[in-house]
Amino acid sequence: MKCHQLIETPTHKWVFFGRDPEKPNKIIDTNQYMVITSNKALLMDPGGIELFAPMLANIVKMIPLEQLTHLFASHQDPDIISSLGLWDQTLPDAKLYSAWMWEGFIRHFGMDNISYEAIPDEGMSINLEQVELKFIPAHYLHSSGNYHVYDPAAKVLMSGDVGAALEGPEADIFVEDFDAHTQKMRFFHQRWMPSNTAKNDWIARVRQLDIEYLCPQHGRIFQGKQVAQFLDWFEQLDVGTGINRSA
Amino acid sequence: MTDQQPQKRPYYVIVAQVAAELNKTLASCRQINLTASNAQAASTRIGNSAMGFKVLTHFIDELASETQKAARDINYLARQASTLSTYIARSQMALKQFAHARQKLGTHTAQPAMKRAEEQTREKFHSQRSEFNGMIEQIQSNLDDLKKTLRTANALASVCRIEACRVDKQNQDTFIGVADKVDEVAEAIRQRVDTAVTLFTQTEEKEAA
Ligand SMILES: [Fe+2]
Ligand SMILES: [Fe+2]
Repeated sequence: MKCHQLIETPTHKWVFFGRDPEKPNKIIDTNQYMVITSNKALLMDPGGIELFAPMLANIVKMIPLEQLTHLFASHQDPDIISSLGLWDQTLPDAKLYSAWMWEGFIRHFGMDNISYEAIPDEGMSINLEQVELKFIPAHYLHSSGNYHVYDPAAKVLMSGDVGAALEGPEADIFVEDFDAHTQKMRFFHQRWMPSNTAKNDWIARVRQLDIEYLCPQHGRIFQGKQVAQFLDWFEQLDVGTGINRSA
Repeated sequence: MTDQQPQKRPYYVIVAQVAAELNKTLASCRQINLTASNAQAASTRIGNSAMGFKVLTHFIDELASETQKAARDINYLARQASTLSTYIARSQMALKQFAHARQKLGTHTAQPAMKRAEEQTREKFHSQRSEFNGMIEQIQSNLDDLKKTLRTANALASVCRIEACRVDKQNQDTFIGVADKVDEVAEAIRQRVDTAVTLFTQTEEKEAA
């Protein structure tokens, strides 16, 4: 599994994990992200049960496990959080932040020790030591209870399934040719994203944010001006249309 | 939950930590390689009186590569063991559920298909566990071997100090520097290996897993 430090500020860093060559073929490739401060860490969209062992191996190389205090699940999907049952035995004192409406569902993955911190519809902020992280609403993109993580200091937006692309594990971490990349994103957004209204509302809010890195849970990371390019591309795309592919 | 008992970590965590410790030794090995090649260059410059030393640096270089290979092998093995251990945990969860289901059946007899599924899971669990124990034994014996190799490093450093007496004062410092570096890095690696060994011995879960 690749492990790449995305950005380092005086107070914290962002790390990317993904592209595991040993991943079973039929499961979708996922990106995991972690914010590390001096004594704490937040792991975002920890991944599916098959990803647990490589994730654990990479994390213990980086920090003592006690430091991993916070987990975040953008939504309830299995590729996001089906590893929960194993994390629950590994980090009994951790907190899991996710949508209030998914608590009863996510607990089906097995959760006896970790505490569930429900995020309200309007989102919320947490402090990881002196670092502020905002869970911003992204409902219906694609899940009806869905959040992204914005870090105003590092200018990073972890955008869950928004910006996702369907590519093999050999793909690069960063978007190179934006236009070529849209080919790999189009169907995913048309089929998995249900609502133009939700999409446009999200775009309007995200345009207000200062973003240097837009980090989706599948596919590649957008950097610099590619972020605005992505928002423009997403704006003109009709979503909720993936069933009529030939139309 | 009230008093802070030392937590018993799942076995997949411990093995992953062992892998991480071994991974950290790789950078140390590269340091020895670098020191050896610097020393080799220095001995070429010094000429004849450093011939013995030059041969020695070759051994140091070889030792570093050997250590690096051993650390890589153990690291790989430990990561495999960690993955296997998560499968064991999953089998264990399944067995717990089967037991629960059986209990729910009460006086009803379990269907043959259900019994078979439980039996198969139990067999899988046992074979996974014995494979895992084999891997752990392998890792432990590899760690022992690595410790023996590290003792060679100290011996080489001693010979290095003896060879230093054969050259003039100015070059002596280079030789002694190499000896010190080898000792220092070997010690750093030994500490990591000890940490790895302690991680294993502190938990008695192996039998209970
Ligand atoms: Fe999803
Ligand atoms: Fe996803």
